[in-house]
Amino acid sequence: MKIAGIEPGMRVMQVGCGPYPFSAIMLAEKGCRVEAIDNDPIAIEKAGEVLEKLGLKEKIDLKLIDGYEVEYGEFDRVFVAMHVEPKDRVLQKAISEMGGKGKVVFRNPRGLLKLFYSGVQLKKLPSPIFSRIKEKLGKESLCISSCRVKNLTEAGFGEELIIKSVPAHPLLPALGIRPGKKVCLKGRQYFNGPFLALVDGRKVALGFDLAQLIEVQGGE
Amino acid sequence: MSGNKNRNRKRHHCGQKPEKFKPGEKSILLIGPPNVGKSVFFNYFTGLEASVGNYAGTTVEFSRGRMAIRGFQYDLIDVPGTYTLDATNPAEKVAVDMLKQRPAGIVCVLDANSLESGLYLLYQVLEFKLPTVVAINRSDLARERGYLTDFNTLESELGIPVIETVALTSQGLEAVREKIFSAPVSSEPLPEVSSQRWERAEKIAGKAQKIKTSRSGETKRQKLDRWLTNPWPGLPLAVLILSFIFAIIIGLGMGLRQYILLPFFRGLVFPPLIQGVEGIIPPGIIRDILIGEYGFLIKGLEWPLALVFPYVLSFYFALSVLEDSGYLPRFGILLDGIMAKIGLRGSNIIPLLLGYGCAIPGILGTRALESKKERIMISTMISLAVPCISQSGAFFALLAEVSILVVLALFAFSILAMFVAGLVMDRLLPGKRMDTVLEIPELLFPRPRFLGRKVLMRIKGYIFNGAVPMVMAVGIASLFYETGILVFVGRILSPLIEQWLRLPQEAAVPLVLGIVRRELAVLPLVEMGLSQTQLLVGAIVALFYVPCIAVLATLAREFNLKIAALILLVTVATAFLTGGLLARILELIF
Repeated sequence: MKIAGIEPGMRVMQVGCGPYPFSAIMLAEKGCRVEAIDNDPIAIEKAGEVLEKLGLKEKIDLKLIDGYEVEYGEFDRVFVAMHVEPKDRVLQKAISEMGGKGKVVFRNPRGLLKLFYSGVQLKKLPSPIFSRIKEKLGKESLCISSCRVKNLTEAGFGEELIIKSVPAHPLLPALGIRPGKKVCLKGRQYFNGPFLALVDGRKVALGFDLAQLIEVQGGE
Repeated sequence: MSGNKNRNRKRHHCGQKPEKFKPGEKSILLIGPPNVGKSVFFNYFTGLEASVGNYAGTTVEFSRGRMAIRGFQYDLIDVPGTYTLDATNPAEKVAVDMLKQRPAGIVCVLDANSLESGLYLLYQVLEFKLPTVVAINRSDLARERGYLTDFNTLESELGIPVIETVALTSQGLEAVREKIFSAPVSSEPLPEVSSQRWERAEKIAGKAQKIKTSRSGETKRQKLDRWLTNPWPGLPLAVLILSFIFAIIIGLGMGLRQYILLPFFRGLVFPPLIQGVEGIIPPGIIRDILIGEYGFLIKGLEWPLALVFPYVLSFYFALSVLEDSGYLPRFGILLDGIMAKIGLRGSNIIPLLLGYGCAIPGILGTRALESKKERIMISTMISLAVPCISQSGAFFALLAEVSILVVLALFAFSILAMFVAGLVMDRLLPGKRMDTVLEIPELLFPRPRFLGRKVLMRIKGYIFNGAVPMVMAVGIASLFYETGILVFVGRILSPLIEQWLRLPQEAAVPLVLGIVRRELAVLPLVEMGLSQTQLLVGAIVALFYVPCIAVLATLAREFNLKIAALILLVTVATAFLTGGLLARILELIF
């Protein structure tokens, strides 16, 4: 949820919500307008009961539909659960329909869980991976963006880039990390250590998690 | 109204020791971002008389000194460095509060190398409508980089005096002093919201500064910087630098001790002292207390001044060089990835390193951290496994004669213990790891003048806060020893000492003394004629043992009694557990 940059008021689609739609509930609590779908009638029925008990029925729209039959055009973010099949088709469709502003977050299995769930081959993705977080219990979350921006961790050394967007952090603007500013990657460390960026005459070390959330674009 | 409230707050806190202070109309504030060289301005204007105090009701520290302007005395206050006045962290809140007290004037120190964000801060300062003069510092460095600044344009755009300075060479500083009182309150209309402020800062910076980057390859400084901040060759270089520092601390310390201080005390000070005491006081318990085995006059002088002091001197010299050169943040980011494994950040290495001098500045150094989890973790790690310089000095005295490898092994073990403690605490304590956002300041060659001053201040701190209590502790110890109380305690503790740790009964002495001060858990072992195994066991127990009374008091004040008690429990338990286990393992091997 962190890597997707969720903000209140966003329209979010949850594909494969299952009988206990935790992700959808969390998104609704952050103030998003959520639509949750599943192609299993029993799951949808159970999910409806859960939402009723929690009093969230108005905030989350439940629908019985297949992931590759949905229109994704009106959504800002799409979350695709790990067990969704065929995942790559759903991803393709979501990315192509969402246009420039959207992002898709999906989960891939790691390690032993690969035996039970299918993962998407990263090379086949329709657009580059925007960021990636390894989770416990053999999962990982990946975020892909539907427009061609990259984050700071993907920049090459010495490449002159323009900052597109910056996560909310009180120190970043004061250190010159603001949209529209030039930035140049100067170094990186082992073990997912910080990235060194040159901005506004300053050298700033940015933690990996933070650098992943800074969107950049090639300069002129 | 706010003044009244603050006075109440002040009274409320007056039971605490650190000086509390609020600026008044006789004060000048020195404001600017971190790493801009404000403290150099401060030292230049105030000379050697400066005091460090706590801002009323907070833990934020600032320096204060006297500054003469046209024959009048003012209080110059070095406000903690802030990038903005948005009041998102304790330092920024203090800066805003100080401005609200309406001081007489403001010196706003900005960096010529990042003019734009400096101007943003300046616009926030100007909102307080106080006489302000702007110093654009580090202009030599900016020129080296091809930043050409037009100070006249800047002055006319801002409507207040703007002075080009290079603080390290004192250039422009007299002009700053001259202009403080001709400084008008800016009459320009000010931007009101953050986005307007950035817009204006951007416009003016663009107008007044032209960037002419002559792409003639990187300078030597940039090349060295690149080497130091990338894993290759940064990591091997870090190992090299630390080994070099370690060698300097031990080598310089041992040399001083062996060839200057010990001969001085043993040859010149002690013989007349012993003669004098023997002449005045008849044999008996009082004479023994003064010059006997734990003689207050003998050990009380020899331990703090001849055994420990040389290492204090060499350690603070080395630490100050590291600090002033700007190497520490670079070292920090190299370690950030590894520190992340235990939920900490690379920059946390700085309070830990301070802890190798004395635990108290190390613990106080965590005050600026926003996360309580980080503070508790670092304070516990320091209390548990970071030997202070007095204790390290004692370890060197105890173990270096056996083998320097044993000393290295002991330090390696202490780092391992810190890592394990970090892992455990990261799991146990709630809270998330904070993001790393750290400005890497320019590499500088340390200036001997500032270096000397810094070392001198720290030595002064050691003499008053370290050596004097040590002398008193030795005095009490010799009283206990000669009256037989220590032997009695030794007998009570004997199952623990003799059977579990396999040390001689006399080892009760360091265990009792070690409660008072860390190094006293080590020093008495020096003359006991212990076997190598016993030496190691004794050293390990001493390493983890009680983190000295002053540190416990600091922990209780900074956090609360419960946390201090918990840390005490953890340290003592770890000490005896590892000590006993090690004794058994070593027995099996040898």
